[in-house]
Amino acid sequence: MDGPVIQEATNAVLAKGQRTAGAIELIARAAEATGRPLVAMTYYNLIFRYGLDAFAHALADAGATGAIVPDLSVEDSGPWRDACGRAGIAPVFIAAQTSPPERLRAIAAAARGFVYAASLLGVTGVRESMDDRARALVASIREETDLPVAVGIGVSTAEHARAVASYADGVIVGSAVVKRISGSSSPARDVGAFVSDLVTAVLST
Amino acid sequence: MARISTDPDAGGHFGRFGGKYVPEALMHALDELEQAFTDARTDDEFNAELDTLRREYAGRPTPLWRARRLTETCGGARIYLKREDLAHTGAHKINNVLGQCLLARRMGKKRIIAETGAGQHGVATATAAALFGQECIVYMGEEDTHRQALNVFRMELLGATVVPVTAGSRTLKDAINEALRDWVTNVETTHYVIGSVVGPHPFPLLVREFQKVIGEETRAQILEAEGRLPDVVTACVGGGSNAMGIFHAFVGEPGVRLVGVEAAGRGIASGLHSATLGAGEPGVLHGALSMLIQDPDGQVRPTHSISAGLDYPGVGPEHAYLREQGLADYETATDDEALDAFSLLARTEGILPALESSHAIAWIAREARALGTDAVAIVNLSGRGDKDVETVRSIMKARDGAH
Repeated sequence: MDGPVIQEATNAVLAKGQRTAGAIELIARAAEATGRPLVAMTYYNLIFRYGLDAFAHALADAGATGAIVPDLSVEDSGPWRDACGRAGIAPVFIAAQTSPPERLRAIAAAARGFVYAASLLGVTGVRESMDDRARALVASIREETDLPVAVGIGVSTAEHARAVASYADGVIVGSAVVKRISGSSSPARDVGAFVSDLVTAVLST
Repeated sequence: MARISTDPDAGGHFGRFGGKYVPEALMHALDELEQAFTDARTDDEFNAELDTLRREYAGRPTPLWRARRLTETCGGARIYLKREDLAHTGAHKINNVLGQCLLARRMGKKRIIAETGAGQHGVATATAAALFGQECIVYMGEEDTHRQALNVFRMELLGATVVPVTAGSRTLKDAINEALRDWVTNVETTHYVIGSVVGPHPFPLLVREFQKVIGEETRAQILEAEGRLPDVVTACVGGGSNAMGIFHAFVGEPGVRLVGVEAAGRGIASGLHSATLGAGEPGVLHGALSMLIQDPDGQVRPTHSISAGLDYPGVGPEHAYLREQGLADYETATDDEALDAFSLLARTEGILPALESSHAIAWIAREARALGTDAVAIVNLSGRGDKDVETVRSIMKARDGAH
């Protein structure tokens, strides 16, 4: 469930002709250039149309290690999890502040790789301040699983990232990066500088 | 009664369609809603209050009108019109919103949000919210706010805030996106009154249950009038709530053909249409797996219909299921056919139908002769056409100018 920043970015790349196959190719190039583990994030219909097994294998071949599908509930995720299992892709699931303990348990049982803790109620986007309830959510998830817990949705500054890193295993930044790409004449440089700041902040904890 | 049960499974699946394809942040709210609905459904007090509202506030039961001049003109099947246009606010939408706003009150949620295409659902929601003293916000595609300016003002008069949506094609699909965003953000205080049998479970079931009163009344009325069940029941299909409402009492009934009529716009071949069941492929949109108008990559394609209420790339999952099981047929009518049907009904019966409902009138006008004079056909006249008079006038003007 994306906010306006990512929706506009999506419309912009679609208008330029980007499609699923092109995005997978981009993942392959990024994996080769960085040598880092990469996790793809997309909506379920794109995977569904591509074919679950074909998509999971294409991700694995491109060098990705996991996938986040925010509109796929644990309940309807059986076929996708099976496809991920066959391809060696970790299906990441999101836990929300509204998830009661029994849902956190189901999410923890279904997830591989890490659990994505959605820090604020709402759609992705840049927020002014972090919600204290994120800390409590991370603690609740830890009661259900030994998987690493990463916090996202609303993390937009180095200060946010530092605060999150003090209690979580990972920090997810989306819209704040996308915003820097869309508003920049030199996106690689600006994003690079921003991410460096985030990394420095996280490592300082 | 040889009826087939078409309730979804526990996960909200009608066969392979339906389900809950939503962000985790909404899952708990859907569970809560399902629980509240399950409790309310069997609660005598809730049902008694809803029944009173339907009779004394919304004007139910709506009449079943034998359309003699339309029948004569079409030269075939005896045509009856289920007069949902006579329900309060001028369309079947009121059935659903009275149920949902009552449910929201029961759940202690004081803030109501809704999406609207033609504006009928928005007006109905604003009406029920005013009646129950609830805060009401309606999301509407900017394009639709121009097409249906009078309905925007109507909603504001009823105390609702109308938020024009400027994303995407600025129509119903984008309004639903924006309403879902609001709901994800404010889920703890807010109930989302979805306007059709679409969205994640339990919405398709819940909306059908609040709309099935149409078919139940129709069944009793046609037995009274004809002493037998109809041969055909037809209704227009956008998301599909008026069709599900009138179909449900007849699903699986031998000898009763159910026909949903989708918008063929400027023709299926032109690509400018909203015929999701006729020309779509399985896909996930707005929380459910159903049929979807999309490109091979799964990107939603722009749709078109002269009627804002049918201009939607998805359709309710139960319709996808009924079609796959052969329990209902889905046909189409073009913009031009709908316009002709609008005039036809105005001149033969003195009724201005909504442009949405005109699609169903267009289908029966085309097929009545082939059905034969012994056949009995019922058309769900889902809404009144006053809201469309301006649109029809400008199109007729342009048409005359072109001649």
